[in-house]
Amino acid sequence: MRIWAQGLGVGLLAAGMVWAQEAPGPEVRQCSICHGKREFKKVQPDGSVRPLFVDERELKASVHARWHCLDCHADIKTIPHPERLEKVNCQRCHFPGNPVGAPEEVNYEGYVESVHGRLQRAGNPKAPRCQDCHGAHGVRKASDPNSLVYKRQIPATCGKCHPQVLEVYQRSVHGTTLLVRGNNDAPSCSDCHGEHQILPRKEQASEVSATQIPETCGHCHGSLEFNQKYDIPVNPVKTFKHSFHGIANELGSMRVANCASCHTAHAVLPPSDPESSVHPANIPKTCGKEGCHPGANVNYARGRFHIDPSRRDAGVVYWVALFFKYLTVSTLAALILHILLDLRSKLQKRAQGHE
Amino acid sequence: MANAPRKDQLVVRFTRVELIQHWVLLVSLLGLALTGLALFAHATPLGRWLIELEGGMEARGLWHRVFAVLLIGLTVWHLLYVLFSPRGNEQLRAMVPTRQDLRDLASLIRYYRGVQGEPPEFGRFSPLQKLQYWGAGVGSLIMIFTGFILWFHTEAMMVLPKWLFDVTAVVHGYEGLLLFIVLFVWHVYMVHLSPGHFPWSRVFLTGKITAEELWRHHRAEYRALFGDEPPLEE
Repeated sequence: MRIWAQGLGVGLLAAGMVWAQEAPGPEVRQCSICHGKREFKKVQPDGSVRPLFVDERELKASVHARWHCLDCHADIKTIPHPERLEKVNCQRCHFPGNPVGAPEEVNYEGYVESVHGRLQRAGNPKAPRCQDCHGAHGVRKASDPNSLVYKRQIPATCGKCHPQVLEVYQRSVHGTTLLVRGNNDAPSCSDCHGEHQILPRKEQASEVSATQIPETCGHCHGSLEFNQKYDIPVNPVKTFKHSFHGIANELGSMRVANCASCHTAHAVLPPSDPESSVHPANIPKTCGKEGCHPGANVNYARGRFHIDPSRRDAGVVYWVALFFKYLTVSTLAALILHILLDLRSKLQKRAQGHE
Repeated sequence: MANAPRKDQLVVRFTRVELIQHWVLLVSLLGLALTGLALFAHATPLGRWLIELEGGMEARGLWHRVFAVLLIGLTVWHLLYVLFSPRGNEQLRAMVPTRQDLRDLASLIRYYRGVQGEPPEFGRFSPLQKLQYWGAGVGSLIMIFTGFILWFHTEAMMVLPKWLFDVTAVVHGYEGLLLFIVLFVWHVYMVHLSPGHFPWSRVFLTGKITAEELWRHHRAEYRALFGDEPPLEE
């Protein structure tokens, strides 16, 4: 509500600005006197260089091609303008019911509540705002391969601030499949973490919290068809949910292993890869993590994982389960038969006794 | 001995020690079934409800172990009782399956088929009762053995390969289900719900059986006690 009201206020202002386009003010051409020069930059007090060149072609190729500098940089009234300008506020246009036709379905609430939004409100200058992910002058639709938020561009975009995660992800099966093989079946950052509403994993509502992870991985790995397409013979989410880990996880145990506990979050690799956390040689170390099964040895790797006892490929577990199924069903059948026979004979006898 | 008893004369069937053992078994198995089968049925609303009722996953596991300790204690007590006490040992001997049991079973089938007019005359324990005793006994030992492996999995996995551990978990689940069905369906039907006992038999409370029930259900034992005359009306 608060955000909406804020949006409305800002929106009215924006609308005023839009309608007042004819009002005197610097034109794009005037901005480009300085910002159109490639070498235009500023040396910061700490010695670093901040480029101030704005490629007009970038703006023209973006979704904002029809807008002018001042539509966003609204606090510029004169040229030259003051050195410190306000950060551009996208909500000037992007609010529900805006009169300029800007897309309204922006998840501000999600962003405000997200870890990024919280840091931003707390005054952390590194916390990303809209333009840090979507681009400043070159905003493009997410479906545009040149967009910073296009699926295959997202890892690089997030990696600007999270370079270590990017490095690990790039080597994972998800990273190589998406970025090297160009297969959009593989997840980029936002497929697991969410887009605007990214929450820390310690929070239960997070897409990547211990109890949400199976659901999140299940978006892709939840169907047998998908898994078989990538040489995974079982539905790992289903078998996990029937395992002791999975049951405890579903019932809210934060202590028990979830998908990422064994497969890692970003370095996911197939078990055939010696680098993989679930490669047989690495199983003892993975299972033996502190708080899990300290002292785990090679025995942990002697057997299949993600077994479904009702499927033949579960091996000996399948046969034992099958034996018990037959035993249980035949015992049940025998005792029901006995009960029925016993009832019949006793009730017959009783009926005869009364005659 | 030859004097026929009155129909309502009471005969001791189980001693107090045996009744207490039965109670401990009943409570521990019921507790184990509720906490264990809740896990077995975790995917159903009933299972989930039971687990919530039991205080969540970890409290459920704790309760399961409490009842398990009760069952283990009882098993030790029972083994000592049937092996070393004169009365217990006598009961154990009466529980040993014999050739007569096979003949009685065949006779029972003929009786159910209507080929034979009268049911077989059972002794102190009928063949089906023996089957249930030994089934429950062996079943409990399997449950205790596999349960120990699951309980002390970290230690067990030092020597067991993972696949054997997985087999253990499967055996524990299905054997538990089997035990539950045999005891809480079949045994309860035979002792309480079948015509002649319905709605319930009080033998498990008092330990005493009437001469009439003895005549009807354990006639061979009756004959050994009172001779061939049926019990007298009043």
